[in-house]
Amino acid sequence: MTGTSFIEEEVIASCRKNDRRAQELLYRHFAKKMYGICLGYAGERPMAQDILQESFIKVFKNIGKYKQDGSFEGWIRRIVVNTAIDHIRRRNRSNEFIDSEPEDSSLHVQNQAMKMMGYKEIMQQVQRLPEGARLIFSLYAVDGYTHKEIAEKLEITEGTSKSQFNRARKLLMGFLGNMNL
Amino acid sequence: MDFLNWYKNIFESADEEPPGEVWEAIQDELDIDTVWTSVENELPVRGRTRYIFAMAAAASLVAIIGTGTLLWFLSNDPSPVRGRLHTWQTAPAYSTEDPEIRTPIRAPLPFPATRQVIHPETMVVTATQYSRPVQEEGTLSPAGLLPGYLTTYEPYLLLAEINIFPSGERQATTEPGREDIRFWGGFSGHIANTWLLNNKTLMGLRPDEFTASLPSFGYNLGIVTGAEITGRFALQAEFSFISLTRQDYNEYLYGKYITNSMQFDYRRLSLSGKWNFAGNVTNGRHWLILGGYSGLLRDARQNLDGELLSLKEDYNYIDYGILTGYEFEYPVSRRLSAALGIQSKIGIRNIFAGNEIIPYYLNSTRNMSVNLTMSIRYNSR
Repeated sequence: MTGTSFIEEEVIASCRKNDRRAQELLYRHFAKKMYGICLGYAGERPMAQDILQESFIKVFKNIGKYKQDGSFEGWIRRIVVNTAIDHIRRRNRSNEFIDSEPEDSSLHVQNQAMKMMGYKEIMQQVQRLPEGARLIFSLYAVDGYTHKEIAEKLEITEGTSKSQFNRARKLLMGFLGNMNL
Repeated sequence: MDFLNWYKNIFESADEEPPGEVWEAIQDELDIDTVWTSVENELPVRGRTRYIFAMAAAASLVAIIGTGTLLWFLSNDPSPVRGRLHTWQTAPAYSTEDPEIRTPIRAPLPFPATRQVIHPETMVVTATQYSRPVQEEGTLSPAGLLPGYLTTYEPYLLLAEINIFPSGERQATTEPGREDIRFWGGFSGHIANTWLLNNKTLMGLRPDEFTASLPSFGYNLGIVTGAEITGRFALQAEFSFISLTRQDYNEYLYGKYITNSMQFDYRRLSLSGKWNFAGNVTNGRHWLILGGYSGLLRDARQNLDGELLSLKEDYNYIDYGILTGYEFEYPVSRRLSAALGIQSKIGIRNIFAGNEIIPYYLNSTRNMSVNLTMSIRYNSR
């Protein structure tokens, strides 16, 4: 880990000087992980690629502002998440919610079935969620934001955040359960 | 298994490579950003630089014209100093306490010359002084012989002649004439270390850049003429019917490291003022030079790794700038002189006119050169 952080410091220092090789090294190091996050928020590849591109441009332009008192990966991740939120808002899709409570019939996904599922299968099902609900679900489930924080970020009520999260979870579990039938 | 943890783990462990186009797009965006940042930073600086250059050029022209005009009028000033005979008269002042003795003459006659500052190296002053007895009746009547007083006196006038004329003239002329001005004409040649100053060639001076600017040399051939208005100041015009500017640089282009050479053929006219700050006619004189130049572009070419391209449409036909320099002029014979000097010329104008790909302000280019100058001249006197 010491070696990694040492390299990270060097790469950050070079990126601050706009060294293109260092920028590419940094991108290659974090691109896969951040692309996964983008896919989780976007639900579709073209939009995820746009979010990833915009996020890394912000990273390189603002790398001088990064104070090395926290995780660098965490800093990049925050930029990616905020960019995803902005992107979805710009498309006016952040208020696409689940209107009715999903039925409980397909609530349960078997553990064994869960283990069999791959990332791509899950992505296909996530894409079926309305964008606003998917955004809330990802913020809570993947990035660990509280409902209060989500409400502030998306300018909705905390109750809306909670209800949309629960509905999105039920719906997704239903989609995944139906896959195993 | 908790659904949320499972979901999170699936996304955290996602291992999908984004397509290569994403990084290409990021690079393009960063390049555009770098260019615009540089443009935004540079435009105000260029504006200031252009203003400073324009003011410096204007101030230089005013100084040259003003100094030249002043020296011209001074050299033609018909004051009585130059070549006139100045005589003043005075007489000894006699003083006595005796009221019986009248004091006939006390005040000197007024001095007719105007006040002049005369440089000792260029002017010769001759003076002659003599006395002449004066016969005056009834101007002084001593009342007998008194002890301690003058018993006799001889009134006289002191006469002085002061003649001032420029060195080299055997005798003073009564009126200054145009024959005082020395004219010359001859041939001139320069060997010049030339530079095209722009972002690329300036960055090429940095050792960590792929582009490497190389020392480039051109030459000028032409005629020179001038007039020495005073012993210290002269005006000079030089017309170069061939004035070659070059810039060579190595560049990493299309995956290859190639040599790039740009060549500009100008006709140039320069006008300058010269100040003789040391030396003399016999042993040679040292001049400082300040002036301006203007150039007319005849041809512009680029040799890009053996491929010849015409650049004439991309560059302005007119260029102008300022020049400063030093010259040592040595007499070869009574009428012939040779001069050797060094001049630096810097263009004020952006010579790049722009093309359909690059606007003029993104590739601001100026001429600059350091010239070793040589000339041979025939002098009117």
